[in-house]
Order: sequence, then structure tokens, then C-alpha cells
Amino acid sequence: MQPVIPPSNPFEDPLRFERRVPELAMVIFGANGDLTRRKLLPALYRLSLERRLPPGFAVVGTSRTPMSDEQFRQKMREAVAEHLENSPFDEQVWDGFARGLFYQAGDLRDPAGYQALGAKLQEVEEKRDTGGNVIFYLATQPSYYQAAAEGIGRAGLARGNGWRRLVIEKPFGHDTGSARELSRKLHEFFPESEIYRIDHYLGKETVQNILAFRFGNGIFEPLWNRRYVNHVQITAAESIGVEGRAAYYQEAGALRDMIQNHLLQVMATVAMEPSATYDAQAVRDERAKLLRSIRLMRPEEVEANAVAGQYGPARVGGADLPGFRQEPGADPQAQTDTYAAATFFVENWRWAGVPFFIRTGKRLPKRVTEIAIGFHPAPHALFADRGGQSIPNLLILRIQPDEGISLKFVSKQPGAGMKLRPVSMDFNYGSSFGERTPAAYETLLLDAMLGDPTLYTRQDMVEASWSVVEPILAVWASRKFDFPNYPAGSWGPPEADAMLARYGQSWRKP
Amino acid sequence: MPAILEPDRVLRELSELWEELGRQQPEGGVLRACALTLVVLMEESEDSQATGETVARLMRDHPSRAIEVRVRAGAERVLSARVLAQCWMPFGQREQICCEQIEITVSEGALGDLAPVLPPLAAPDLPVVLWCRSPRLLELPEFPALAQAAGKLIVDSTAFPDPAAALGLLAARPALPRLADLAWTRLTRWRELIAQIFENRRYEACLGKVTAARVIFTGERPPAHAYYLAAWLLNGLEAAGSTAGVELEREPGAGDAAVTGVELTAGGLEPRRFSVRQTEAGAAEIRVDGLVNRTIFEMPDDYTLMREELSITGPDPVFERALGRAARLAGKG
Repeated sequence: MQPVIPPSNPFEDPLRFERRVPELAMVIFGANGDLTRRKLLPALYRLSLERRLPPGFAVVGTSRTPMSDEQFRQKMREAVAEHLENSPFDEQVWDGFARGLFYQAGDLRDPAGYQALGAKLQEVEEKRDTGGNVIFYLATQPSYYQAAAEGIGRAGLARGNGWRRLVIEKPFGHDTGSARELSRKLHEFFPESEIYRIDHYLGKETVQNILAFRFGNGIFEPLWNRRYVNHVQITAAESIGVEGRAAYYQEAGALRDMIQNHLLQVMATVAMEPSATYDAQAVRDERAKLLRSIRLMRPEEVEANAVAGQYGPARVGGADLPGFRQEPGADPQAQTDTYAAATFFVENWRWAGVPFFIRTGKRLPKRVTEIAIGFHPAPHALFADRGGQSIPNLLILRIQPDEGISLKFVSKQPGAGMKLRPVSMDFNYGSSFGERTPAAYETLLLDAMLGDPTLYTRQDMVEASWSVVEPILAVWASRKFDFPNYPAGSWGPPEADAMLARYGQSWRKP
Repeated sequence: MPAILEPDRVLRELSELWEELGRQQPEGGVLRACALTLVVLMEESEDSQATGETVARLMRDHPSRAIEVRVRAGAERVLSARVLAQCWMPFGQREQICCEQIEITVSEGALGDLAPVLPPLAAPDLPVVLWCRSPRLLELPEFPALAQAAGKLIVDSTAFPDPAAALGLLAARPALPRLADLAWTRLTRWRELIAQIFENRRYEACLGKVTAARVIFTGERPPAHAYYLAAWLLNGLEAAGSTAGVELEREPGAGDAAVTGVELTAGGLEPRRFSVRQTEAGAAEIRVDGLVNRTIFEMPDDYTLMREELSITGPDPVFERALGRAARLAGKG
């Protein structure tokens, strides 16, 4: 891992200054697309507003649409003004930032386009003193990743007088084989250490806070094992439907779209062993080790340990919500899982026998992502007849919204006698630190510029998580589901409740 | 008014306050938050409402037990206290979040009695920070005993009538706790912009060849933070191998004492000129030869400055190095 702050700058004051990045240009493929307009440019502008970018920072956008630099600037100005959240749009800052925006039209499949891009980069380097450092950000359809990496490599742009990095978005393949093949292609031109696979969940402050919570405090880690933890529930619920993405979504489904990447990464963060140092390689080694320790389901175990669901139409709060099959662009007979739940076990000394229940779904009652650690009940039921027996302690790590941590425990009710009731001790991330929380993309872009891959996914992690979900995908592909099996606005299909009931548990209603 | 302040009574009142708040919120409950004790030492004549608002805003970033000590001039013995809570309800949530506040009024005649009661009033096991808002109070004979209760002392040398004397006093401080000066904190954005320029390896390579550096200010004489900025630049340039001095240059025209610009000129084979200028209220321009960038550059208020200082709990070596040098520069006039 490269140093986060170059130690040679004699004016650095790490105690007070935010992390700063060295000179660089960022090439965005798919510069005319949704991701660029909604996430990347607003995040970069935001970093500029917060004075985190170097004076000569430059963006070179590229896509098939012919545009001048000025037209690109105008287009991006509109996008940033529209999609900027929790920040003012400042004309003066924009003017300075926009001077660093450039555009080069080109087709990803056309070698001449990469030659032109190389010339543009040379021009930008001279104008902006970018030092030859370049990040290539592939904000394109995943099917173009290989072509783009190859085009960059064949044009000699993957090497230069500075460093060269490649950032790609999920999905990283659609199974282990395709993920491995994608990595093999990328490695022809970029070493693994310069490939940054974004999982924006890992960029969320509260996911990072899991590491601080676990390894920055002395009192929790001794409890963080099978001796004290009864089970873990990880929930990522969305209240919205597929929002016009039915065509993409019905190819992916909830298991591929959420569990294979985001939620298994979250699970790995919750369950990994402490690394020896807070160093990208060490932290990612531990995450990868955990993912490899998840027991792979045998085909006959899938029925009992994984549940697929698809929402049907319902009337919620006076609104008629369509079912998935009624969504525009959706196949009326689609077998897509808009809900997925699974029970995983980690085969190591720390977690042997502890079930990790993971669920995600669309059109659930509310938008919430949280991790609930359920502890064993007290070994002797001293207060069995006083309301205290059946209330095990629960530690809840809330990722969104209302980021924070709650500990549920029982307490004696005031007054004579010994009656118990559950109470909650809450830490609210937002109200305890009044500062604005950076968006996940700001954190991750900054990390890529600084050369810090701690929050990025590595090839072996991608392959390990595909291995975990592949047995489920294989069984699901071979059967026909009786969908829809849960109404929009409910907490998912009854089979998911039955899955937990087999372990004597029930899902939390967050 | 009796001149007796019993910590036990004040703490009992605090505890009753929490019980009362809990009774008022039977549904969502009240969340009590505390990360430190903030003692604010101020003149009674000062606008207590403005200071109170600053403290209330700080509670959201640094939930604290706030102890506001208002010092009344005169020999009459006055020492009294009352307790209250600062509460707010985060948007969309049921629970109120509350911090506790103790207001103490003390006359100069009774100031000697205050030092022993501060430690028991502080929240246990948490840092204690003393914010002294008045230069006069800093020089009272009772002050060192009050400061002993704190792990960090925050002052603002720009409030002193003579910046050179203020910096001399702070640099020579005897047994005071760890020190912070809001005049230095005011420079963070300036320093950040300058440091950012030299993240670029080509520009950083020019630092050893800097032949001239200027800190530009307005006002009759350089404010304390102009000395700090010059000292910090000198430290950085020296570390890079430059022997250039730093000039303090007054900008013609009227205006309050403030820093308005920094310029560095590098010689050698690739001569360069670097500057950061405040262009108008709320904006700054960063220039590296012909490359120009503009950025938001708000003037920080007390809340912003304190928020930054309260987030620093340990030693601040960059400040310590700058303080000694700034005092020497100011002493030379």
C-alpha cells in the first residue's frame, strides 16, 4: 500500500488537515452515463468544494457522443447541480473545478479512440501538471470492461511516467468462472495492486465504523465469538421497487445484486479476525480468509437454507404498488428473485455453529440496513418469572438510515419488587459527530487517488463470494418458483420466517 | 447570595434534572451524551447569550458537560451555580439528545474558592478543556490554579491588545496545561491550501529553491496569526532546504487585522510563483504560475474554531513548533 500522506511535504499537518491527494488525471469511460452524472461528478465536485483535490486535478471524460470540452463542462454542471446532496452549489468553485474537465469522444471498441485519448492525456498533463498519474474509471456496462482494459493497454496507456490505476464497478462477473476470466483479462494490462473494484457498501462510514467498534475497543472483542454470540442477522431492505431497472434486474436478482457482493463483504467485516495492522493488504487478507471460511451449501441443503422471493402487487398506504412482473420492462413470467435470504455458517474456531442469517429485498416495508448480533441468554434464568428470561442481549449496528449502535439489555423496573424490562442504550453516529458524513463515493474515490485499496474488493474476495452463492444459484436455476410469493410492503415470503424458525429464531422487524 | 458552592448539591440537581427530562419523554426517552467537560471562563459583562449559543452548537459535535463560569469584577464574594440541559431532537427521531450545563457566577473576590470545586463537577473519566475567553482573566493570579483542573487550555491571542506580548506570554507559559490558540486555528484553511499545492511532486521539488516568501496582512500591525503563518512557513521552508526569510507585508487600505495572502517565489532552472489570496469574503484564489483555482474560503467563527480544537485531544507538535518561532518573530517587531 502506498503511503496515504506523502511524508516529504514539509507543510503537512495530519492532525488537522484532511487527507489530500497528489496530482492526477481521472479518465472516466461512460462519461455520458448515469453513474458519472449522478455519483462520480457530484462526488468529485464535493471533494473540490472541501479543498481535497490538488490545484491541477483533471477529469477526462470519454464516451461515443461527440462533444467539445465546453459542452462536456456544461453537461456536467447541470448534472452536479441536479444531483449534489447536502451541499451548496457554488459557481466560483465550479468554475475552478470545470477548468480541469476535458472530453475526448471515442468508441470503446475502436483502437483509434485510445490513441486520441492518449494524445488528450498528454495535452492535459502539460496544461494541468498532472505528473503522469492516471486513474481509469470504467463507468460503463460491465460487458465493456475487458475491451476497455485491452484498449488502454494496447495503446500503451496502462504504463507511463506516473502511476496508472483501473477502477471498475460491480458486477465482477456473473459466477466464479467469469469473475476469474475478467481478472485474467485485466491482469494482462494492470497488476492486481492497481485494480480497484468498488463495492460502495464498504465506503459507508458506518461499515468502516464496524472495524473501529470491534478493534478499537477492548470490551467487545472477547464477546465476539460462538461462546457468547447466538446468531447474527444482516438485513438490507429497500422500500422501493426496481425503479425502471427491471431489464437489468431480472438478469441479476437479489442474491447476485446484493448478497454476493455487498452483504457478504459486510458479513466478512463483522466476522473477520483482527488484522495485525490497519494496512490494506492485512485487512483484505482477513476479509478474504473469512469469505473462504463460509461453508458452501450442498444442493440438498439449499432448500432449507436459502429462500427466494418476488414481490406481488399490493395496496400500501393508499397507493397501488405493482408487482415485479408488472414493472415496465419486466418479463410477465419472470423468475427473478427480488428477495433473497440465506443462512450461512463460518467454519472456523470463532464462529463454528453460529448461523448468519442474511436477507435483502425490494419493496419491503422500509429502507433499512443493519446488523443484529444476538447473544446467548443468561445461562441461569434467575428472573424467569419476572419478565427477564426470554430477552437475550442484542447489539445492533445500524448502517442506514440513523447510523449508529444500540445495545439492548434488561434492567430492573424502578420500584418495589424485581420486575425486569428491556431497555436500549443508543449511540447515534450523526448526532454524536455533527459533521457531515461523506458519501461513499467520495471516500472511495479519495482512497483510489491516494492508492489506498483497504475498502476495495480483491480478486480472491470476489471469487470466494461467488463460490458461496453459486450452489444456491445453481439450485434456483433448476427449479420453477411459484412467484410472486410476498406482497409489496411486507417483510418477505413466509418461507424466510420458516427458515429462521428451524433455528428457533425469528427475523427482527427493524 | 451565599458564597458557598457545594459540588454534591450541584450534582444532585443535575441528576434530578435528568429524572425530570426522562419523565417528560416517557415514549422515546432522553439520550444523554457526554464526551468531555468544557469549562468556559468568561467575563460577566460579555454577551453570554452569544457564547451560550456557541456552546450549544458545539454540543452537537462534542457532547459535553459544559461549565460556564462568569466572572464578576469586584471584591464582593459571590459564588453560585444553577444547572440546566441543552437538548435537541435529531430530525426524524423520537429520542431527544441532551447535554448538561452548569452555570457558575463567581466574583473575583471568590475566584480562589472555585478551583477546588471544578474537578468534582467535571464528568468523570473524560477530558476537561478550559476555554478562557478573556485575556484579563488569563493574567489573574488565581488562573493557574483554575487551569490545573484542565488537560487543555484554549485561548485566542487575537483578543489581546498586543499580539507580540500575547505570543510571548503563551510561549513562555509556565505550568499551564496543553495549550491551543484560536489565532492558530484560524490559519488551518490557509495552511491546508498551501500544503495542498505542494502535494504535487514537481512543485514540492521547488520548495528548497524558494527565494522569497511574503505574508500579506491588513490592519495597523500584523495580527498574531500573521506571525504564526510566517513561523510555520519558515519551519516548512527550512525543512525543505530553503534559507529564504518570510516578510510580513501590510496591504495598503483600511481593514481589520487579518491575513489576506501568501506568496512564495522559487528560483532555479524552473522558476515558479505560488500564491494563495483571499479574493473577497468567502473565496480564495490559488495560483501556480498561470494555473488558477478558486475555492470557498469562509472566515471561521468561534464555533468552527472550537469544533476543530475540541477534536484534538493529544499534543499538537506543528503548533508547538510554530508558537515558539512566532513569539521570536513578534518579539523582533
